[in-house]
Amino acid sequence: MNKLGSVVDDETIKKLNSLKTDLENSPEPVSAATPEKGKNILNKKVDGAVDEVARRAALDVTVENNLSAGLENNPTFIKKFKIIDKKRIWLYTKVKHVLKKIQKDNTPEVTTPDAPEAPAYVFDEEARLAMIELEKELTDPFAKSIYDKLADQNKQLLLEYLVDNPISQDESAIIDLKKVVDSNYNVVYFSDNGYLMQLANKEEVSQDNSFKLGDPKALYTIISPDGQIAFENLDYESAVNTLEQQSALYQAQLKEEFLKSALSDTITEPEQGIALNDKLALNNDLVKMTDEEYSELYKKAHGLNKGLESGNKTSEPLDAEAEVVEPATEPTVEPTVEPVVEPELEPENKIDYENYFDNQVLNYADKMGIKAKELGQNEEFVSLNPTQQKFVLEVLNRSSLAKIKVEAHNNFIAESQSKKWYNFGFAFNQNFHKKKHEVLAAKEIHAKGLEGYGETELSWLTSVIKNGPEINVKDNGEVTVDYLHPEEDDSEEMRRLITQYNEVAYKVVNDKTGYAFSKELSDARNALIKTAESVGEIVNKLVETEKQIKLHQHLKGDPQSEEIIKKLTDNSLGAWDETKMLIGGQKDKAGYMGIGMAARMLLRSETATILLGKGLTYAVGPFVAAVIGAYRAGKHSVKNLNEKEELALLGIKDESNTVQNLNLAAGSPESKVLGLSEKLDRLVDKYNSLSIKAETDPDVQEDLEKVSHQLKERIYFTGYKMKNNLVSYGDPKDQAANYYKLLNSFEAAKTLLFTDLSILNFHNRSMITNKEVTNLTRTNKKIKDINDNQEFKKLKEALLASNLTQQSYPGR
Amino acid sequence: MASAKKLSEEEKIQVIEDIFQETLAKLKALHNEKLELIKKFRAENNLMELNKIRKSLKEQL
Repeated sequence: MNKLGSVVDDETIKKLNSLKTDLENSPEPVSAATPEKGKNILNKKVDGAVDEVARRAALDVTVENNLSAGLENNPTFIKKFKIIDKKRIWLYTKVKHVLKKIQKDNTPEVTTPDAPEAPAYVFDEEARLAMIELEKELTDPFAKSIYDKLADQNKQLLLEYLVDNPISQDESAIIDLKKVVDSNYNVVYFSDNGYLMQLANKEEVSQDNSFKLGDPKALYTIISPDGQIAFENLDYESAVNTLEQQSALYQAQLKEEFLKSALSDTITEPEQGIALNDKLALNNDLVKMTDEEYSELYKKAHGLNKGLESGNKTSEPLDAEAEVVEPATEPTVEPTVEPVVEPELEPENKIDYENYFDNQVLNYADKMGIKAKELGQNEEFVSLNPTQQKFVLEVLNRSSLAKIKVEAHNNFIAESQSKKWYNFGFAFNQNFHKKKHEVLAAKEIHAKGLEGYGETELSWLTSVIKNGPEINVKDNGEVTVDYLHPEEDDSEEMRRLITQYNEVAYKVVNDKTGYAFSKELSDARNALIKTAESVGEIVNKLVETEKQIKLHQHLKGDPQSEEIIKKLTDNSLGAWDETKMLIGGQKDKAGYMGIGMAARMLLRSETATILLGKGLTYAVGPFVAAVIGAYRAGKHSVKNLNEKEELALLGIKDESNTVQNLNLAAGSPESKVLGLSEKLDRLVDKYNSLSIKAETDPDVQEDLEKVSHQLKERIYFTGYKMKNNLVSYGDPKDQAANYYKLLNSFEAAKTLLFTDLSILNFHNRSMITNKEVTNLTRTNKKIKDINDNQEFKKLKEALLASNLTQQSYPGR
Repeated sequence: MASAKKLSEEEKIQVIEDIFQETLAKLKALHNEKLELIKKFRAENNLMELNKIRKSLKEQL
């Protein structure tokens, strides 16, 4: 078994083994003792067994320490080493507890010490000090009464969980305890009053260190707040049910005890005692009284309010004290929406809006909770064909996921600000509460109908789609989009190539990966350029067309968003669902996967209005949408963004390193911080002014080249950042504006690059392929002749008109 | 809850004995686990040292 020959010399092994064998052969206090009747024998046996276990453990540790000499500097080794130490301490403490109980009671619990996976509850020094700091915050009497009843192991588990998942920054400052945490000991649920649900056989059910909680082979142990194993070998469903049941019973018992103690404390104060009795009379069933009420009663009983009113200093504000442990199962919070009172219409005025729409549109709208009437009142929307209508609805639906995420995050933060670490149910089950807010936000949007999704967004999308290429459906149900139209005098070959191009383009739009058909598209494009009579004309058309393709691709987003939204709105948030969600939610990253594209479609109505009002749409600037494809590809290449990163991209600020590494899309005038867009704008301005000077002054040529080089680098850098989702678009309300701002700056810089061959020589490291550079070089002269920089001029004019970049273009 | 029943003194002693033996077995398993760990890391260490020596020899040659 101990094949140590390869690592330690034989002499040492022999020596150590003989020492061990001697000790193992020494008389064992339990098995070697002669059975006698009477309590003394029993006591001796227990004491002997406990001592012997301690002695054996100590001996093992000595042997191990001797053998491991020289490995102390290996952190991985030390980590694993310590985990086994902890398990051993746990085993010893547990067996001691069980044996002493047998010694003490006449009715011993027939149970054996749990497997070593059970939590260790020996505090090390840092954990103990942190716990003392945290306990100072525990001023709420009811919460304290629950906390005091927790066994050390339960306290430790909660603490260790909080180290990784602090509720507030203050608390994380107290528990700066990376050193303390090893794992969460496979605890999957922590009830408000300290019941734990623990996976007992992780080894049997885990794959790649993760496991399915509902695995039929998974066995769970329920540990009560006092650290005892209450139930063992339960399957997932019974474990959840049992835990809930036990936790509720225990909560009722806690309330009763707490109230009794509060009442007995107030006997000396008749007035308050009467008030309490009155309250009691109204609440015959003690269990029905909420925790908050108990806490309030207790405060009244102890005159805490009085103390505060009279100006006595207390360590905590009253609001903080009012915090109590929430019940294990929160009441179902369904978003309530005022029923819409339909105005009574005269029969002849009643309009059957359903007749306006195709069935597939109605079904989809119904799925989103939008009524036909709401859509029917938007004339522009009605004027679209059914395929276009469904397209708009799909985009609207998918983009709502970003709204849900932001809304849920803000609500979660608001809720967590009112919580403390000792609100165990919240502290330990934070993932559930995040999910809960997502469900609520999704349901709210669904319940509000079109208002929830945004009427402005619908109008904006409608206008984008309406002014775009024609979307039509063939007899066999196949959808085609005429991105490129043939001219009357086009040859047969040209028409064929256009049809082929349109087919590839539609594949590109619906492709999930975002890059699978890019080569096909490039080939189709090149075939057209080769065949066309006028290269300039076809290139010009293609520029416009590909803008539309990228726009559609962008708008379509990720179909997975729809599934996530459906999952969220289908959830009933009942007690059982809560638990399922919580448990499923811990490993469920899907919720954060689908939102990349939707995040960028977060069109706040005010921004959309500004953009429409100023005439700034995607139509501004050539190549304006070219970058979006890169976004999409980038999004898929870095699909496993974690939650913090996703939220950061949605503009949720965070102090973590991941998020600090993000570049700002746009800086703020107050902070004088330059964002990516301002940096690009500055270089473009510098380049332009230098190139004008260079026409008359050959001395600036060197500077011009320097700036040109900087601009290339900057474009490359910005493109890289955008492609890899490393840009923060700021607060949710500014997101759309910042997105457009950066996009436009980027495209303006690229346009400059496209229209000036002197900057084009950077293909060896740019995002433009060599092939594209060859094509562009060939057509560049024609493009220049045809456009004469008109597009670039138009872009700048539009940017100026939009008021978005005045700061970036001073004095123009 | 864990089953609780009245036990005679003898039965109690037997329970204690069982728990004791079971605990010893678990201790032993943990001890073995740690020895295996030591062995594994020692082997890794030795290999690293060996590579270092090889490298330095190569350089010298």
